[in-house]
Amino acid sequence: MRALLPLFLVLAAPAALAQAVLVDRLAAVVDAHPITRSAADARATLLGAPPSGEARDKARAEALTSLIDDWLIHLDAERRGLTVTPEEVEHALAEVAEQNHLTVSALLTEVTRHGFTSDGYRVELKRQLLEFKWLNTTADRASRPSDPEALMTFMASERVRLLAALRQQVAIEVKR
Amino acid sequence: MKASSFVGLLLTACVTAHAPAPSTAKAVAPPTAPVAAEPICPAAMPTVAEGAVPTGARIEKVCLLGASEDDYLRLHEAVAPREGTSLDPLVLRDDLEVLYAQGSVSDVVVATQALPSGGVMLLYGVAPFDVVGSLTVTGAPALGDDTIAPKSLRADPRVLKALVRQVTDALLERGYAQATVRSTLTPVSPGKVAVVLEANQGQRQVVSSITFDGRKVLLERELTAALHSRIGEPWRQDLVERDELALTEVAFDHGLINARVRAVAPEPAVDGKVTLRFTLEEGSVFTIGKLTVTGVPAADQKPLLDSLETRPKQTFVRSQITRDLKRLEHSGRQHGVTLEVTPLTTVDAAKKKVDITFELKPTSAGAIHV
Repeated sequence: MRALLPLFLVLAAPAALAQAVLVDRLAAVVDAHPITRSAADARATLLGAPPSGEARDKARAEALTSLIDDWLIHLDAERRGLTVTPEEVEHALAEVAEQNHLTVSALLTEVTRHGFTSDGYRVELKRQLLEFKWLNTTADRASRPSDPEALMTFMASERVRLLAALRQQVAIEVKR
Repeated sequence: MKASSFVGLLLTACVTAHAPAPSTAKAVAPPTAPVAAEPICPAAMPTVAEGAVPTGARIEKVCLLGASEDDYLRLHEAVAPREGTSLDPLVLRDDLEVLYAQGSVSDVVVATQALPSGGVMLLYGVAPFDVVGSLTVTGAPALGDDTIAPKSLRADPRVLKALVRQVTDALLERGYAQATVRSTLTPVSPGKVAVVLEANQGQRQVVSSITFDGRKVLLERELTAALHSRIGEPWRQDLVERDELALTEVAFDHGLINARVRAVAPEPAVDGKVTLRFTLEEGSVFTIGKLTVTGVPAADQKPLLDSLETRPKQTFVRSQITRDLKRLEHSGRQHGVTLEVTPLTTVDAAKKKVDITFELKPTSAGAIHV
């Protein structure tokens, strides 16, 4: 027994002493859909958040809210049969490239400097296209102003209104 | 190594480390090189801190901490394959989502602990959902307020939401159109909660009369007979939606191909008596113009057309066309051919006529002959 006691201590020592480093955790749950802290972190990074500090925490919290909104829009768009095809994504990619006087290939190289991979950028474009379709479908048509600037303000307020209504329909739990 | 046998070894190792040494242990010599020792999972999830994630480090051990006995094997099986691989945060994110998707844990944390070897021990800390000790429904005399002690029910928000939906639907079915239900959780002991489903059933709404505004061609008794809602029975949104479709069907069977039917949502009545009101825009009565069949030899077209209920100059009757469609499919089957029959319509709004073409396409081998 005496011989085994030091052995036990030796074996247990590494686990007991080393500092555990957080890799990831559940940040929020929207109905059955989990959203991870790493996903919120990745979004915060893309939005230009600093690597650490209070500003980072704030950016992460905002990113988490936007991920929750994304999921609510995704669910509602799915319910309404709205989809985005790969062709639509490629078309949007070409448009963005043209607006920036770049080739698609040069654009994809450029976006990597902002933390995107090529696939990640396509995913982001797809998300934006879906949100555009969803908002265009669900926003109150009768009240839409014709002035482009007023229309933008109106659509932004409609987005807030519609998301508030969607939040009422699901269980959202923000962990931390 | 299979996950289950790995878990068996893991549990054995943990038990051995904490159990009194067997009598033969005296013969075992302590190792001289501690670095060769097998890492041991901590008994509980340690405090985790933010720091540089050791991406690419070799995962020498995987530990699942905090799982209940019932869930341990199943959850561990999902993450055990990480042992021996390089740490990839994206893969671990997937693991986290997989663990949560099992439906038995309310929280998941993934952390690493550095090992002297340079590798890491990967820790998955989970928190099981609280168990629902009692479930009470209050404020719903229509259902009978009750408390039950459910077996194996977890306080998972998805489960609670489903329960709330169930109680709400039960009240709506009984005519409590304004019913609201919410759930509250009260801890009763560690890991156990009491769930109360607080209902406010409100006034029961019963259909006291039915009116059809805008009716011109359609007969009231025919419309009433088509309804799923009934006078004296609860007002139910789901039935009213089916009523709208049923009334539209009636209109389509009277040549009213542009008919629109809309139910007017009633104001909740204090005495619970509501009028079920439908507004009808009937439009014009349409008749059948040309009636043709394509996809068969010319000689076979006339006998097929003669077999149909629908005739030119008749009032357009949608249910009749549906029956004719089935009749044509049946005719094909009788001749050993599976037919896809598509009714194509051309509407002449000025003449109030609808031309109909039944397009026949064989989906199995064989020509169509009558």
